[in-house]
Amino acid sequence: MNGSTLCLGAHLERFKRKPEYMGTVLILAIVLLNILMQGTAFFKPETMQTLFSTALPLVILTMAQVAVLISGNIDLSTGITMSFVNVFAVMMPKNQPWLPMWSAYVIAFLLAILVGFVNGVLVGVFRIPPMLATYGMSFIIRGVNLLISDRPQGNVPRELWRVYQGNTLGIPNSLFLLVLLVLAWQYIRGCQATKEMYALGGDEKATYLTGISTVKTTIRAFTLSGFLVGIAGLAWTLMLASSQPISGDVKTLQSIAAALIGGVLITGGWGTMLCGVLGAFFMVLVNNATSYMFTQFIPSLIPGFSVSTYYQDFAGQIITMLGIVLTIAVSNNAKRRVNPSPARGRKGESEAK
Amino acid sequence: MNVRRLKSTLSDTSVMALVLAVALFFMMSALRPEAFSLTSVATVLANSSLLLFASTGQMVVITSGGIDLSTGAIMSTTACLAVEIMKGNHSMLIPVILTCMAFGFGVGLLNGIGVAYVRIPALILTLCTSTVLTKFQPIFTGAYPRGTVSPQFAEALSRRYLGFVPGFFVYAMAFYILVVLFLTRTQYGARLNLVGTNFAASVLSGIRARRITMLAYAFGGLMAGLGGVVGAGYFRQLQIATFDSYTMQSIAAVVVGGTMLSGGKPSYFGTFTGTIMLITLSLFLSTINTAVPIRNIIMGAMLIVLLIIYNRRPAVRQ
Repeated sequence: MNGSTLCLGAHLERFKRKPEYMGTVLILAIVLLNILMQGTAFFKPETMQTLFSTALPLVILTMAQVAVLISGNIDLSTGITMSFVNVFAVMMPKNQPWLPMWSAYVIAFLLAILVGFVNGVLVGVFRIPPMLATYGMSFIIRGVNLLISDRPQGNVPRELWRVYQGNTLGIPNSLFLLVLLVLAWQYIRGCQATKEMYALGGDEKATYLTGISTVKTTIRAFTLSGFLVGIAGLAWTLMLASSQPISGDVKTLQSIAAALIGGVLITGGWGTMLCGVLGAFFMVLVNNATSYMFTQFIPSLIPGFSVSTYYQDFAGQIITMLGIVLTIAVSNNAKRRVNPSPARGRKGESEAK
Repeated sequence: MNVRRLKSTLSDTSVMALVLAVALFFMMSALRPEAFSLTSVATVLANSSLLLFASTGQMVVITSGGIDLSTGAIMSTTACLAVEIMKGNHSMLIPVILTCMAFGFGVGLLNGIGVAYVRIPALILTLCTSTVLTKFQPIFTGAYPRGTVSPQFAEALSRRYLGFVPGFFVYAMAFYILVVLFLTRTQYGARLNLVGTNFAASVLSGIRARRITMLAYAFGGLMAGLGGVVGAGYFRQLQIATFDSYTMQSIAAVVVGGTMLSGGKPSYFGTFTGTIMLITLSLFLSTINTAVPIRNIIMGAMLIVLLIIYNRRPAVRQ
């Protein structure tokens, strides 16, 4: 990314073809906008801490979505599964006193992986369209969540969420978790198994013909996603410090949008976890910027200016939509430049998505 | 011969959906004898009508090889529009219906242009449209819709013919049949089928495939826009995003009826039976008094089981 100054131009040219290019540009733009409006207040440790700890569940959830999108599938059950981890971990020790608290967290995490695995089986073995299989799954999990607890309640021990929402040397603790996950991804990215996931998303038929088991690869992608959803659920629990049975459901669509803004292609085989992280932060920062703009910045320029929060939501949504459209156009272009031949021959097919 | 005919009937998804619906209805009657009445038939028909508007539009879009996730949002928006413009004034009925259809058509056209010409994946674009529309509703209604439709319009929809056929159902069926005739009898319908089945082949055969695709979305939007108005007339009490759940329900109805998500070859009768089936299932679950969580679990499990039986994608090797 930031090689020697001599070949900076060449580096830039190569970076333009990477999936992360558009996400990086967008996030720089939105950070710049935030700095322009808020000045140095944006970099205060408390601001950063709140920003990272509230954004992290969405960020990890987006990473989970990226894992599935890479393999050419989609998962509509991630958000509600995240809520499931939350509800299970917080409410089970209360409902079943014999269950120690730490084990509820572990079991909830393992169950999230199981949900991912089952999704993978439904899509891979039974060949149900992924969108509908995971949609059906989201209904089942929603029901289970409501069975465990039908309303927001419960609480998480103070020591636990204080760690998550705290700082170490001025750096938010939640940031460490994120860095850890991204590093882990960089490590597994080069593995055979991950490459097979990319191949599956790029061209299912060709992947099958090279002798890779498409079924196993699909299951692997969904299981990896389940693993990340489990972590997102734990982060969500620590962020909420209570249990909310269904509030995570809206995050599913947000995470898909975030992944696409980051530069992941929904047709599969294109994008990295870093794309997801960038996209998710873009979404969070857009909301941050629009709310600041409408509540503080514009009123400071035009005295007496006040509108309802609906305009704020609407403006944020429009910016997000423009970001998505822009990124898709750029990603389509970049993918075509990286591997020109197969994409052109199968125009009709890629459009069917 | 008879056995063979029976076999082919059993493998016909659209007929099976209807059989399942009837079976569910009788199961419900067995468990709750008081539910075995013309009133519950009327309830099924009335509730199916609104979904039928949504799923007919959805079917057209799915036939083109895409998907429309903004159906529910368009319905909610036009429902809000309808009550805001109408405010109980019956003379406004025709202008309101036309406005809402135009609105739905316009939104659908934007979707279509984005998908067909800008080549944004349908899933994403319509998802974005849907969120933008949802955020748009509170702006023009001012937090929540206050108006109502005219009492005459509401009465016309809930009137019962022959004791159990709601007026709503009559209108829904009329539109549904019109659309099916349009898709089966016109050149456009035949072209749409080809575009959905094989995009590249349709381009090679000289069809303006992109325009056909674009119009499919516009048409889906139009149906959703109309659905919103009649939905507002039937339910009367409205909130923001009242009909958002119809997006996924309409997709499920179309798919359960036997239309493949990959495009082409729509099952016209199946869309109707799939709609009836989904509504009967939800009525069944609410009649036998299951709690909401259990109802969710059964809905999800049923959807997955039905898909496993009827709507599997072909294996890679084929």
